[in-house]
Amino acid sequence: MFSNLQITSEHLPKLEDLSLKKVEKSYLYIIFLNISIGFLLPLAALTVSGVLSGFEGWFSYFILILVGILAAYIFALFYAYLSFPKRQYALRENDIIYAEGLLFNKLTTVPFVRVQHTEISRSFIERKLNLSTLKIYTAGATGSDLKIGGLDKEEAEKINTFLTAQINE
Amino acid sequence: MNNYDFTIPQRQSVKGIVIIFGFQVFKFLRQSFALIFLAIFSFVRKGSVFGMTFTQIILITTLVLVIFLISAIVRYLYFKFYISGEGFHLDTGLFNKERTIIPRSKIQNIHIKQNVLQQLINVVAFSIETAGDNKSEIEIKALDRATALAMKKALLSQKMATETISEKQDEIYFKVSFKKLLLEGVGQNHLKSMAIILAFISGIYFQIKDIIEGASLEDQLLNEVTGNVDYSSFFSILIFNTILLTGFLVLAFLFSLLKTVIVNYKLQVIEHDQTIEISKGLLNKISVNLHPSRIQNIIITHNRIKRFFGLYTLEAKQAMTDQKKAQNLSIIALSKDQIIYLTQKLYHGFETIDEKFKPTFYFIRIKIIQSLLILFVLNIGMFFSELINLWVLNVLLIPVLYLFIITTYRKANYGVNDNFLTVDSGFIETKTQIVQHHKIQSVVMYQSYFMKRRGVASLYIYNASGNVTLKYIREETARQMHNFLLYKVETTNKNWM
Repeated sequence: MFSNLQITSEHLPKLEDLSLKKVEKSYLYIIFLNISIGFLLPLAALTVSGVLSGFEGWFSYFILILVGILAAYIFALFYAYLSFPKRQYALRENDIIYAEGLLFNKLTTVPFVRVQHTEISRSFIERKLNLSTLKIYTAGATGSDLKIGGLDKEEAEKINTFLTAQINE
Repeated sequence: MNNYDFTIPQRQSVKGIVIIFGFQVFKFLRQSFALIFLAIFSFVRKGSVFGMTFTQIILITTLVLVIFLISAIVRYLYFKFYISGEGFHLDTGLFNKERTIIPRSKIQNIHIKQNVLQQLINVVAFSIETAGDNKSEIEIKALDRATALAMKKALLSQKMATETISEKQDEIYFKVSFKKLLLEGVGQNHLKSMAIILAFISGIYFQIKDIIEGASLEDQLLNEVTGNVDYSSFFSILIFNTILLTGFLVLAFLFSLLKTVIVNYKLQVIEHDQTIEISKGLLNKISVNLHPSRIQNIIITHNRIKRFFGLYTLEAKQAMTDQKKAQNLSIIALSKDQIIYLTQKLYHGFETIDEKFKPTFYFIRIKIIQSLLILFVLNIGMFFSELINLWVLNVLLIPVLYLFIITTYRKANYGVNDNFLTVDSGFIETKTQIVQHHKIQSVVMYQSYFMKRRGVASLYIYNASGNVTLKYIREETARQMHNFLLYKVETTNKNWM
């Protein structure tokens, strides 16, 4: 199908030959924490509304729902744990690559020439764990931007400096 | 054109007061639609509104209008603009002074528009569109046409020194005839119009629902509509529904016909040296310049009926324009040759790609699963609701879904050459999207577990106006494409805008 192209595809640099780098292991804690918060809030809301409503025998329903939520919670944690090694990134000569997702894998590539600006953010816990999140923005529609969480602080800064140099070139 | 000096701050045309006033009143009416309806309703029933007499109502209305008028005058007085070397400056505000500056390089597009009111008092709206968010957009509501054109020239000419809108009066490339306009209206997607009408009716219903219920009008209404229908008989339901459906279809047909004519009235394509200018509209007249470097995506659509009449639509998407504005950038009722000519004008060196490839069988598999899910959910719903004999729907639905699956697969085609990527898709309509390699912002390869097992992947190609998708292609092909597109972006020296 590429017969009419000037460059045959065998000569192109191949993504699949690439060895991707995993993000820092300690980032798993942050993912776990985020999931926990996500589950804790509805649980708290449920408890408060249950107590306040004074509905007869709400407790037995509550236990039932609690078991359901706990099961979903454990499943979410387990899934996050399994898919964690799939969070990988790589820098090439001309682009940056990030992949994530176990059952639903997504591999995003942003060429340096299309990077608009970059951003490093560090939450309180990220600071404690010496981690950084690197965001790379393009001029593209939503979904075309990259967000790499769980980078080592120095690593993130190194990439950021490198990217900035590339943009200004 | 020397008699216009835009370097000194100036106000818009005095007629602007009328326009601002009109806009405010219209906005007020639209927002308090339900309240006004309620007032009129209670006036008709009781002869008074919220315990006020007729004179009082007139007094209050006048007061509100006077306040609007004063605010319009203030807005007019404190709205000054000028052009400097940097770009376009705008100062607004009486208490909260605000100064907006748009650098020339950030100006994406300049529109000259006219709505009904503006047409009546013979002024035009002048709006500057930037590539950024909507906030940085500026609209001057009333200018006379000559000033607007001169200002447009002043803003654009210096910026696009190499791409100047040439001095000679450019020729009109295409002008739509009224007959073609009507035919185009006939070939519209009437189901879409029906959905809009239904949404509109239900929207109104929910707004005034409380009022109707309060007046126990609902039962009356229901009785009137359904009073002479015998519900015990299956056929009367069928007949009733058929009549209702036909009524809606006729309404939808008229709606889309009217909409097409109004939006595209006197559509003209004027060819400039480098750009294409579109002007059209009956109630809202617009004039837009399409610049090749700004265009991110060209979409060509047609359907069976339109093909029969030889009517093709070309839509150009520019960076970040939202859906509402994108509508205005379409040119309808073009012939096939005109489509190719215009596409080549906007995309230099474009030629149709004959060698196409299709999605894998996985595409059909997914569509089948989706269709089965729809059927399943509907049937469960029918089973539990007490509506009788709705199963007849299945007889109708299954062939439609079957047609949907085979047609969407037949129409899904992807083509690629050295500079362009085309994506064909559609069910009722046939849609071709054309994007340029050097305008790509990022590429995403998506693969679920099930897709991986079958060696299938999807490719999402993002540019500044959205994305095109190569769905469910072979993994091997997806990787090749991914590598190839990246290679093209990374080796190009062309900018994306």
